[in-house]
Amino acid sequence: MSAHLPRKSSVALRDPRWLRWSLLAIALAFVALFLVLPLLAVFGYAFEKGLDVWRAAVVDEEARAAIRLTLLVAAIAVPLNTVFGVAAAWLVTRYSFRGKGLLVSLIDLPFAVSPVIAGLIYVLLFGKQGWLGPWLADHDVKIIFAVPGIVLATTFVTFPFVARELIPLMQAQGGDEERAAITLGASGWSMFWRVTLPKIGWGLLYGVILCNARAIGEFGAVSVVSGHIRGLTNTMPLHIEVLYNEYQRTAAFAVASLLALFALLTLVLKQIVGWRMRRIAATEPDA
Amino acid sequence: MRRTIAAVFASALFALGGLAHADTTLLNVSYDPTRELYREFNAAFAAEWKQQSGEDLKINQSHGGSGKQSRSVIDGLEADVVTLALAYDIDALHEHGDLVPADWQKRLPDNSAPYTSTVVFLVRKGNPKGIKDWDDLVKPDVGVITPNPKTSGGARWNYLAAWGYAKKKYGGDAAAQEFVGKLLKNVPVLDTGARGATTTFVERGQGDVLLAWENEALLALAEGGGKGQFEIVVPSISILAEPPVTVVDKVVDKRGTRKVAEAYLKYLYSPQGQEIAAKNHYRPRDAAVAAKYASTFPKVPLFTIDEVFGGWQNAQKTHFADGGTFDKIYVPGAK
Amino acid sequence: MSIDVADIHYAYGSAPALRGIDLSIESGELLALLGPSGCGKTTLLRIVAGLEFPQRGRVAFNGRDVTDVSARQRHVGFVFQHYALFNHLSVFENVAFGLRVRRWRLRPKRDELQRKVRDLLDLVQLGDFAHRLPAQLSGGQRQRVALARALAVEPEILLLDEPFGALDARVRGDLRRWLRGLHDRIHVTSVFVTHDQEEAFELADRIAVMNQGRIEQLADPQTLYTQPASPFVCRFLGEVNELPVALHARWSGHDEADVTAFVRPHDLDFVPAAAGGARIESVRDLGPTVRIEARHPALSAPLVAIHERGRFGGSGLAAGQAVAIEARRWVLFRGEQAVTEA
Repeated sequence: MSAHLPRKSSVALRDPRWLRWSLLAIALAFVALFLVLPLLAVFGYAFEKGLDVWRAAVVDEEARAAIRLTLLVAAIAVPLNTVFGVAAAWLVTRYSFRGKGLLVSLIDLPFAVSPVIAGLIYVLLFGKQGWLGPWLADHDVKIIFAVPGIVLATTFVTFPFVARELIPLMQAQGGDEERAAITLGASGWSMFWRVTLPKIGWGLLYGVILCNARAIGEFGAVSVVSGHIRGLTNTMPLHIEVLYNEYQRTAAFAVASLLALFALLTLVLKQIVGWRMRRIAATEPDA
Repeated sequence: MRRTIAAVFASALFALGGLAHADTTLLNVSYDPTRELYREFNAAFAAEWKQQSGEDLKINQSHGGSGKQSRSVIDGLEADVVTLALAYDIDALHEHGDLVPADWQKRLPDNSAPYTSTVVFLVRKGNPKGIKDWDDLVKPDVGVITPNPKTSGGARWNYLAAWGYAKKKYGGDAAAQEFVGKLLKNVPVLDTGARGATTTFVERGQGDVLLAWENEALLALAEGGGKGQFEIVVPSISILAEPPVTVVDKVVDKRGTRKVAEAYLKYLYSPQGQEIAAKNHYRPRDAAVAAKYASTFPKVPLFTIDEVFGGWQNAQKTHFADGGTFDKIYVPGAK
Repeated sequence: MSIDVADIHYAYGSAPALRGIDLSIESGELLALLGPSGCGKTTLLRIVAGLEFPQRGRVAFNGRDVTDVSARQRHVGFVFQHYALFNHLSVFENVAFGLRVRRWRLRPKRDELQRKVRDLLDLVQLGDFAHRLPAQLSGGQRQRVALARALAVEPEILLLDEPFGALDARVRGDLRRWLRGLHDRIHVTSVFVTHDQEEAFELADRIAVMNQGRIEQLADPQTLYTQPASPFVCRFLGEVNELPVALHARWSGHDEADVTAFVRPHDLDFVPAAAGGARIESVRDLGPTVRIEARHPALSAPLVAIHERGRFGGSGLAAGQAVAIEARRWVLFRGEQAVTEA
């Protein structure tokens, strides 16, 4: 998913009208069925018993703990992945070395792997029966079934977003501005802050928005490593599952409505940033 | 920027670590249906403990499929006590990691099962398909909802209850296998857990009869939006489910919580504890409490795992291990 | 600041780009690296800048070995073909960049910085544009900003990579002359890369003609044109007729079959002669000049003569006419070797 759009194609203007309208109708039907309807359902069920019940569900102690945990995990995973992503993109686009293709594939690995497997990897690594298990137990360090494990699993699953957004962007931009900065006497760090970061700023923000959205909504990987300790290691998605299974449908959807609101907010931000990026690309001095 | 990240990370770790040492905490790793039971029980026990010892006690709960929870404890989830569905799942704690001694089950009365349950049928109001007993489940137009024995402890009870009935009625394992096979053919979907199966039946309206733990069925009646929408049918014979509890020795010794953990479990056998269990739809062991709730828990002949199957290990090996009878009988989607 | 480059070898992976370059550039000189695409000229420039590092060889400034010195420390000014301006900074800030990133102690104070930048902007005639963004400037203006930016750090060497390549012809011409004027005033040792022969000739004191990673010839424009060291140089510097010496008695002293005379179209004449051996194929009016092509049975390529309009008018040539060939100037080559007149 990238913000880069190709120049407007004029092919569409040559398609027959009926084709254009049918395609539009199909697309709208799809969006309505798979996106709008479920979204409406979420809000419908959430407020079905009135605003008070909704509020009660959301300020419930376990719900608040889940919200706090979700935000904490995102607050750690997203900055980590931002740093990793920028470093990885820099490495891939500014250096040539053997195995670069392999590195790029590895960056995409979390997309290819089922989130449940991702969680399992960490259990196998850090669980009591895992590789590092005995060492961790001896030093009384809790990773799996505790917050660090959730952070790790979430970081893994959301890793590619920033890198994937930056790599094509930085490749397209080329490195001449950075080279200019170097010849003008800038240190590596100075060059990065004054030249590279402003160049990739909007693309970076776009990637961060996506990364954040995924971090907040992650279910599978977190479910495996969480331990499901109520009030402690349940994130919002997990807590919603718990509520639903307890026949507390309204409460479940109430918390889910928060996630849905957040999703809508993400979409709006993404659109704004994407629009900004396209505007900049259009007025950019020709490379 | 990096320093801030490290600081947040470290404080998160410390916060969690701190949580473990501030007041005394216990972690009870349980299976799905006991959520309501332990919510009430934990509050009661914490009050009792505070009175007895003056100590503030915080009890954390974790719920999930019994097998999955057992696996998690083996992988390092630090449970002070486990209250699971099957003795088999606790035996695993001994086998893989020596978390409890081999004779754990003898340490508490009644095979370490302070409450019991059994398998009953939950049907729609008015019982339109006229389901009275096990035989009705194999009729051609009856949809049966039960979870997957491979993933759900509760499902294994259902399976063995059906098997036990058929074996007694039709004589012999071969007949039983045929019976259970026919029953499984009537199952449209196998959920992973007992609570999921209940949701499928109650919320999504699939199937005509739900094979469920009695406590699940009673809960669904009481709360599941199912007031007046369902009825319970108790079959002619069913299986005695004895969900066991134990302290996890390795953990309580490490955390120094043995005393309070043992008191916690003992409280389950006390009159107050038994009352809470009965209120939350589990059959109490205590005779006095049982008498009080006689109308909720009708008398039904019950057979045990040991009687019919020679114990859990055997049952697991014969039926639910790879290549066992379940694998032989169940072909997904086959009609 | 003089530049000495010795035995430079560079390869991209397994593809060699520079195969042993030796070059000495005098202080204050304006030198052009001229050659076709892929000849290695930009690579060589980058190596001098410190943006690339050779696998073998040495680079020295004023005798000081800088081969292992990073670009940051070399104090060279570099101008890129596509300007490489910092698009999020104003013109003023672009020019001030090199001064702002200096280490704290070396950084000029606010007033001094303002003065320096203003002076530079005036030098490149963009004084009124200080607060514009690069996106608001034309190509020529952007390149001038790039130049000012490079000069701001007072480099002793200025390197330009096809600086006018991205501009249209008219602007290119103007900027060329302007750059020459600038160089005459500032006398910074400058090296620029181009594939345009005319540009090199107009700007440079000396030109290094490069081909496939080697320098074919290093000389001033006059010498290159009249005494090319190899057929490649000769062909690269402009259109040329390649005639076997047997074609004209004048060259009869060099009768061997493998000697070729290279004659520029401006130095070739067609004289009407019934048994001349060649026949005129086309006469095209190009404006200030006239281009005449003729065919000789012994040659596969047409003979090309270019004359000024006035001269042509006098000789009255027309298509179909039989002509003989006359040459006023030529250069002889046997294979790759130049052959001197006997």
